[in-house]
Amino acid sequence: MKKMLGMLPFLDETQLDELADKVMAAPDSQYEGVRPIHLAPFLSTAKVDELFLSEVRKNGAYHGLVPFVSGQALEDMVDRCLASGGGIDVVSLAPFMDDGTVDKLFAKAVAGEVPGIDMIGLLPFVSDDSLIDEAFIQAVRQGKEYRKLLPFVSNRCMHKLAQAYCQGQLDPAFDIDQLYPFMEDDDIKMIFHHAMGQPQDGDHDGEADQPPRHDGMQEGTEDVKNDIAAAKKEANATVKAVMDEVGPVMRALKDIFGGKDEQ
Amino acid sequence: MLDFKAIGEKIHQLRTSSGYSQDQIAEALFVSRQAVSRWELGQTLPSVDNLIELSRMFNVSFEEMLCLGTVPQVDPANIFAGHDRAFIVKDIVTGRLKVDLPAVLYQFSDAERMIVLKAVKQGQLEADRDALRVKLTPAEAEYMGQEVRR
Repeated sequence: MKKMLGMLPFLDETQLDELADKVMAAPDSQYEGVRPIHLAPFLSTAKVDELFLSEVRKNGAYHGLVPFVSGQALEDMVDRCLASGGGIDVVSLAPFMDDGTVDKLFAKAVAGEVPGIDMIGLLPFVSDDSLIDEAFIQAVRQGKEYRKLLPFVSNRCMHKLAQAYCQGQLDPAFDIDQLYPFMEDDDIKMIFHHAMGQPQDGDHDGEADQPPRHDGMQEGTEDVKNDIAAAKKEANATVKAVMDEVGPVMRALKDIFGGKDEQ
Repeated sequence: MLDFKAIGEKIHQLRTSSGYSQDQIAEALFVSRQAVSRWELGQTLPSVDNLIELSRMFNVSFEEMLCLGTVPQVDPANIFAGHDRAFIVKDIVTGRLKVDLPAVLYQFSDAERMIVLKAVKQGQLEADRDALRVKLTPAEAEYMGQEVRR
């Protein structure tokens, strides 16, 4: 056995491929003491992929091969996992997947299409923040545990939540006490001012935003009016751009709270 | 960005200087004495309503009670002591809380380690990569190393 292992560095590509075929053909994935993990450093990526998928099919020791396989093989594995509705531990492979693959898997997990997936385990590797925001909103809406999602939820989403709370768009039973410690200072202030019944200045998303004052000019002149009109137009365009960007989050929030359009 | 520990110390300081016992505060706010104790230890925060009530009792603003605008202080020997873990991890990842990551890495759970390592890998969080490398598990090292090979 040791003899075969010791020879691995000296085998040519054809011999290594033949050995890999024999390992794959063996029910216990072992040939003369050689296992997939022994072969992986010497094989081409294509052959490692083949070996990897063979181990996945056998539910064998595929985890050790992950650093050597291609992104395509990992994606195939995720597809297999999605098709089978789970059953394969793909979360531990997340660090090695490309961003798009992790995002796809996370989106399916949030949608409940792969019930066996540990959604929380994927969180650190999700690149699209809006997916996490949607998962958070969904958890809030369904009264599920959302605390573990909090560190990953965008400040933009938390701000929208704070706004919705202060505008009375949330269920009265909504527990803001669990969330305010994770918000930005301005949002915390807005919530406390709201709770104290004081006027708020925390909403910067709509018409409340005014162009800067032109203190050195006499108000009422045509120039100032034109400047204000131009600044308003620019501000409206900016607001529109921002709203386009946060549209998915806003729509999800509206789904929950049934609020009016804030624009 | 609330500092649970600082808020707890603030509540304790204001309560004692105002001459209230924990029992009196608990009775006034209809909470248990243990709840007041947990606030003062920085384990939990009062609800919004209770915090407003406390600020009225102590005649200070809620901003002062919540220590808004201050940078959280952590004990390097136990960065999570008196703080919410998720809160600490988030503040480290966003760069608000500065820590010597290689020195405190052992204090994170496996999942938390991957969270901060991802932030380092993406350049979101600064850390001494050489010092960090020797603290990593083989899988973590592989994860961090992928970026170099690509």
